[in-house]
Amino acid sequence: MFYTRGVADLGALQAVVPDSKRGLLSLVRPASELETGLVQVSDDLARALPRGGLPKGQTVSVTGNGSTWFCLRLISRLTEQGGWAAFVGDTKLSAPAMLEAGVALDRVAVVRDPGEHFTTVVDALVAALDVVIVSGARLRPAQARGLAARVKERGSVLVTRDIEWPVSSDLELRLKSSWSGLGSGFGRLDRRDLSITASGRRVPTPVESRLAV
Amino acid sequence: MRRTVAVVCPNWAVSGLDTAVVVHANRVVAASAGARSAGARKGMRRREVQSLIPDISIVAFDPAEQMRSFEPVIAAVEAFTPRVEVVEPGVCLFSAKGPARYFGGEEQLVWLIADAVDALPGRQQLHPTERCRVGIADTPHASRLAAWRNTVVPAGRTREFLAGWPLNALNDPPLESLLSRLGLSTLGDLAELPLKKVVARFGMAGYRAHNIASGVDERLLKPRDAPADLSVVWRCEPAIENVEQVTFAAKSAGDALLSRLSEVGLACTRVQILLETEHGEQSQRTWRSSGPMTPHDVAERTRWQLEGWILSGEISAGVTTVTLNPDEVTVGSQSGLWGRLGDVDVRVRRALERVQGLLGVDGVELAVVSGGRDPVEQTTWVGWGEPLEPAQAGLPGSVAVSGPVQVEMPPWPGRLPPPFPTQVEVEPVAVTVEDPSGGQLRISRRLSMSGEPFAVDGVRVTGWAGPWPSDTRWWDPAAASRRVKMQLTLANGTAVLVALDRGNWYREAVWD
Repeated sequence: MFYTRGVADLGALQAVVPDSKRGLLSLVRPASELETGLVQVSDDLARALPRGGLPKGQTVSVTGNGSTWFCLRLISRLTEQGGWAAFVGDTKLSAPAMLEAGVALDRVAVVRDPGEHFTTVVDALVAALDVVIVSGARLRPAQARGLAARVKERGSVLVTRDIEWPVSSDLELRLKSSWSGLGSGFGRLDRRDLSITASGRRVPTPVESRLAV
Repeated sequence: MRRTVAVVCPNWAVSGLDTAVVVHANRVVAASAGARSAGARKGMRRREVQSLIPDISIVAFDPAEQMRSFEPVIAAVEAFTPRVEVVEPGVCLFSAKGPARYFGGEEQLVWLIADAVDALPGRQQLHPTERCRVGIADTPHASRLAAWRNTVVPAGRTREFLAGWPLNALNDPPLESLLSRLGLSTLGDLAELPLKKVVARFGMAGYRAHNIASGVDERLLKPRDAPADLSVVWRCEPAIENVEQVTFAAKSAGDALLSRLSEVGLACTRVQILLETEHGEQSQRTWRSSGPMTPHDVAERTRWQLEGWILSGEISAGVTTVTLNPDEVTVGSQSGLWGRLGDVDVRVRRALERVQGLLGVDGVELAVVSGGRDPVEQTTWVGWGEPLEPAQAGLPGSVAVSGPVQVEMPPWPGRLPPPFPTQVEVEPVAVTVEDPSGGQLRISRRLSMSGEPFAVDGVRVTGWAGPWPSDTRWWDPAAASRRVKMQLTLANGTAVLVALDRGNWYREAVWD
């Protein structure tokens, strides 16, 4: 087994390696998998994330269309392996879609309406769970900084989905999605193309990658 | 032997209603006198009853509400004895020994109680079959049966009384059907079999059934007050003024109580719940369940008790202590080696329970896939710690569905094909759907459109499928809905499911 440094390399490799050598490529793993400080994500998403996973102790913001589906995919590998994730403030999740994204339903706690206790609830959850995905709230900068510090201290991951986060996140993922399959009065949804732009404090140049589902 | 008085208000949930049934999980669980005379029976499916009696009214299954309305009856019975055990809405028991002597004999007591209960406001006009019934026998189970016949079974003759009852008096459908296929038809037949043989063949269920049939106390230990050190006192600091939070405190206390009991191999069938407020007010009630109680049962009963208390207006401050006293214990069945939640990391459990303490039991939920045609029906939310059961099952068998991950979904004719929408509107959101002329897109009864869909809330439509008619529950005027649905992809990269309902467009789900 060979390890390469950085996933961007792996993506680049994939593009230049001729078809005859593709078999070899499957033996190559991103060096990030050696690191213990990552929450593992499914293989297709690993290619889109700068370090091939969710860095523990960081805040990640996900914005753009397709964010719900993306967040579900983010936690699929984790929950499959017995880790715990939570959604806070998301009132409209659907169980079949969660299953379809590969999420283990009995490992995802959902606090649909935290009301006035939003920060207390998130604070309690990031202290014990691996990934907490928040949406539908507006926080003051001080509260956001407090939560970010808590996440750093406990080594969990806080994902903000489609909300304005008053302080800068460690990793920012902007999504663009498009569906195909529907024509004018016929067809069914069958393919979604997702382009992901990763930027942030620890990513010197924004990295763009594409994902077809 | 323990002489027990049972006070039964038949069909509590529907008493006083003309033709009504209570439906739970698509089966009738109670039917009013009018409905029964028209042919409705317990266990029928909802549709069967509706085809039998088209104008029947269906009452929601809501034990908490029924328990609140049962409160005056309990108060009336408490005038005769302080130790009333509430079994379920409509049924309560108490020991006959003291009250019978005080009120001049058992026969006398039966009439006094029945009159007292039926004198309550609103009960005078009841159908004769729905009047309060009281019975006395040697065991709790037999006394409930005696109440149905308004009889006092003489001491020591309970077994003879039970002999003629059919097996369904056991209230254990799987065992009943097995026994009847083996040629037994009455409780008498069962009681005649040697106990040892019954236990050897049917295990604990057989033991319980045989005890019930022979008029022996069905509990495994001699009734005794459990040692005082088993009771659990849960102090709330500061006082709690929110029903949800008290319920949650009771659940935690129940957890503590039952784990303490199970350590010594016991389970609890009767629990005394004592609530105390900051101002020193107290509410005490004894609750009985037919099987061993779970922490959820304890929490539920605390909620009923508290809501009844609030309704009576005798509470003026927050609750400071919840005391659970296991009034009656039996030999507990061992739970699995690791228990149901045993594999959950203790830190995770604590965090989730802390959030539940803030927001109530339903503050933290897990999603369960459920059957249903509309996207919103396909998810059931279950409070953390409660059994993961969907609100409606699918039809038997299942189909594989394609997606990034293969999903087994309960089949349900007429539902959308996958992929499933990721965001489902619980309450459909009004949107505007325009046709190319800029006006609202109209769809006729015959599904012809005024034009192609052009924009949704100002966002261009890039592709569309439909329209499909969705005509659901046409047999029920209250719940019937006739909608036309369309699936659209939009220029901003999402796909939406929109529905036209009585001339207005609504967004039902988003593929985000």
